[in-house]
Amino acid sequence: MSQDDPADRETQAGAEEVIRLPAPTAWPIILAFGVVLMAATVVTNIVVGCFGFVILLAGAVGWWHDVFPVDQHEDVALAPEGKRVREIQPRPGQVDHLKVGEAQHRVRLPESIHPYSAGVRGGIAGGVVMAIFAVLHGVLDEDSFWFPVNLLAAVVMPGMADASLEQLKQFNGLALTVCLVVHGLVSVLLGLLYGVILPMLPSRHFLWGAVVLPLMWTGIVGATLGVVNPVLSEYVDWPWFIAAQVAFGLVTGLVVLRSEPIATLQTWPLAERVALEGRRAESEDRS
Amino acid sequence: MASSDITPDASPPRSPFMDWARGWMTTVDHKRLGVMYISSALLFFVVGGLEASAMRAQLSWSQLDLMEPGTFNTLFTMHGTTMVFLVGMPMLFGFANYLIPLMIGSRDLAFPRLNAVGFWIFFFSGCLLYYSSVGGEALYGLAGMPDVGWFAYAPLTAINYSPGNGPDYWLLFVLVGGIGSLATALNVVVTVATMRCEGMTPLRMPLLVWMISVACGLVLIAMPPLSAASIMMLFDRHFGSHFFDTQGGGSAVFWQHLFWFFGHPEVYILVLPGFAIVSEIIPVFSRKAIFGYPMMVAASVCIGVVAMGVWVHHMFTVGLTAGMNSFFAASTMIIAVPTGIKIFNWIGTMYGGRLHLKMPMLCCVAFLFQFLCAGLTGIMLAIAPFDFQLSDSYFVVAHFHFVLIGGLLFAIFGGLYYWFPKATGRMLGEKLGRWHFWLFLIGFNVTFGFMHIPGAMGMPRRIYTYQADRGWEIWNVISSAGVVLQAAGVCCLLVNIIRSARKGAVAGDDPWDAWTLEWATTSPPPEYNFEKPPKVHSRRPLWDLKHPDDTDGAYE
Repeated sequence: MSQDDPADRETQAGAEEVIRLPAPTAWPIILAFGVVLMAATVVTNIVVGCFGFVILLAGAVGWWHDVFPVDQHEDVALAPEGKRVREIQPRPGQVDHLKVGEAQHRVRLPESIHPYSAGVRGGIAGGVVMAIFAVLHGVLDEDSFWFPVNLLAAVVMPGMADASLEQLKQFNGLALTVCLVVHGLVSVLLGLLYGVILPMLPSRHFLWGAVVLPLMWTGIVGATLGVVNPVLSEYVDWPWFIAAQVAFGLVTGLVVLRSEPIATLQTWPLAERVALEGRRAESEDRS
Repeated sequence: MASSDITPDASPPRSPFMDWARGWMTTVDHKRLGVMYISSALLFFVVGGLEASAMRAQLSWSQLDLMEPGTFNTLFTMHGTTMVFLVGMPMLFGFANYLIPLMIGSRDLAFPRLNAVGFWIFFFSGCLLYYSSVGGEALYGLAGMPDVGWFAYAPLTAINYSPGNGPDYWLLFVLVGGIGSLATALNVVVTVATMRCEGMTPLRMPLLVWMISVACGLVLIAMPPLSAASIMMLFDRHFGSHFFDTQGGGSAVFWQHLFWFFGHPEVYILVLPGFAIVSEIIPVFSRKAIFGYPMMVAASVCIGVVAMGVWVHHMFTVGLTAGMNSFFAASTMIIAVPTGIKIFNWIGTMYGGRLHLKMPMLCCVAFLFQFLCAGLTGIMLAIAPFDFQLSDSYFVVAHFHFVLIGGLLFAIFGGLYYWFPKATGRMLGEKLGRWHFWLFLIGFNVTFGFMHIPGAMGMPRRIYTYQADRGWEIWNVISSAGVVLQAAGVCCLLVNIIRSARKGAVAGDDPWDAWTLEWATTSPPPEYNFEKPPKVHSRRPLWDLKHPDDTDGAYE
């Protein structure tokens, strides 16, 4: 409540047993009824509207007299002593502070993380290895270097859906460009994801990065491939696909994990994070 | 400003009933108006629920004709309109009215008389809407309740296609009710901006105050275009204008833009108070301060901002440009981020806490699960091609009922159980409360969980009946069976409220050992709220008083 409120002043100025509040008034309900009756003219009769206007006018004038020249109020007596609010009793020493690790409470704030650049590097390296696996599959099983390239390009080239198997084995410049862009982008993004989340995962990062995450990714791809890339869905060789994913996970995870971790600011107080303490310390030193 | 004392010295004797009625009808006390808002909303909730039950009975099997098709049309129109405008919004204003002055340590809202006008306009506009069921015929012979759906699309509302007065009642109701909503929303925003007690900086305000303020801000921005659209539609219908008449150079899609510019923020106007209630209850019943208060505030404001830029996702099937569809699909998905932050923070608050699964908390836990489901189907519908398939199907109906019942209504139930002791001085019965909770929870999930399936199978919303060979019967009969459980649950709640208000256990000032200022006064609070204006030093002023050796100020 504002200190300038007259109601407060009344209470604080010495009239201890009453508090000044706005007086009850019938004018709001009258005015509201007039407004609704006026609106009802459209669906009833002009007479209803005229009646509503008169009521609205009466409500408006009455309200005006409620607040001008002086605001109508009533003094409300304080509740008798026994019915007033009970004073809140302090309960010192009752607070249990949760400690890190207490009662198996799991607190995992990564105090250090791998640099994002490691994720990018890992993504590129993993993408290269994955491409080698894909090309190996094309050459060994389909006698075509370009087969996996065209399959991947089909994700953004709807025309590929009508291509025959022979056409899919031929070189296509546009498909190669699309394939490089799509594969490069996805590899870098996944590498970044590895870089960010690997430190936050429970122990056995290698297992997570090389096995669990590739399998999860394979599951997602398996569930959605028919919609995202029907051509790839038709020709995909799942053992090769899974091997390529695992190879990506292994290489990316290795590159990320081998990078030098850097400290985070998570455990620093806000003031230190924004360097306020440092500045103060410097000025103190100078003085 | 000077003031005059009109406190009566000696009142002439009046009958107790007249005194009681006069007291409620002339009150400008925010607490009484809050109770009146919530009571009226509960009354309309029962009416809207009965309308829904009648519709579910009609749809429970194929080829039923329990009612006329026209009656079915009026039922879904009145049900939607009632639940949105006469239940959801008054609940917002009811909780805002009752709680905000108490929570910020004020004696009342900034404009007490305007507050009363806001309530009475809302109440009379509701009466006007339902007067359409009995009144029109006697005067013009053009009777009929509105039957054009709760968003009253043009050109169906044109005088040629809907010649009766039904759409007029709807338009007038929206127009007049909007005035009341604007008055109250303005009042809340001004109160929060100007009447906080000493020490209550913006970042010490309870989250409920923040979130309801954002919702009221949305009302101030979103409501005027709908009022303008209603006036334009009335002009089209009665004065020969052509705003929405495509044949006459107008645009029917223009109505959709104006309506949904209000209609989608309206979803957040409704659900933000639900978030607000949950944000107050979960910390108290987890015995922990809210996790990530600044992020909760930021997420609320962010939701308010982004909510103004997503309305076209209701119009994906209109045939707008691909660019428009893409933009609004993206903005709709973006709003999941601040909402996700909230869910994360509520769970973060519960995590490691000492959970007390009393009725308010049970409702909040149900809210979390169900609102998450609602959010997930919302993301699905935000994808324009997916929406092309399922727009105007029962999948959409199930989705928004998960938002508004699974989310908002469960939060409101939680709020009722939490603050009922403050408003009445008596506790709501826990045993009957659990009957209410479990019956309603199971009934709700049976009805609306299974409703997704016929929707995905292609059952359109608003159909009066359907052919037997569609395979929809089993899902519809299950959905209708769930309504019986929900109705039983609501009966338990109503009985509980009536019984507990008279004979419930005495609550005391602070039955939940809570931390915000409303618990620092008596239950029920006196007219003046606080004898002395409170002074706060942290976000949990009562915690500071109870634990002076470990005050919150050190951590904020």
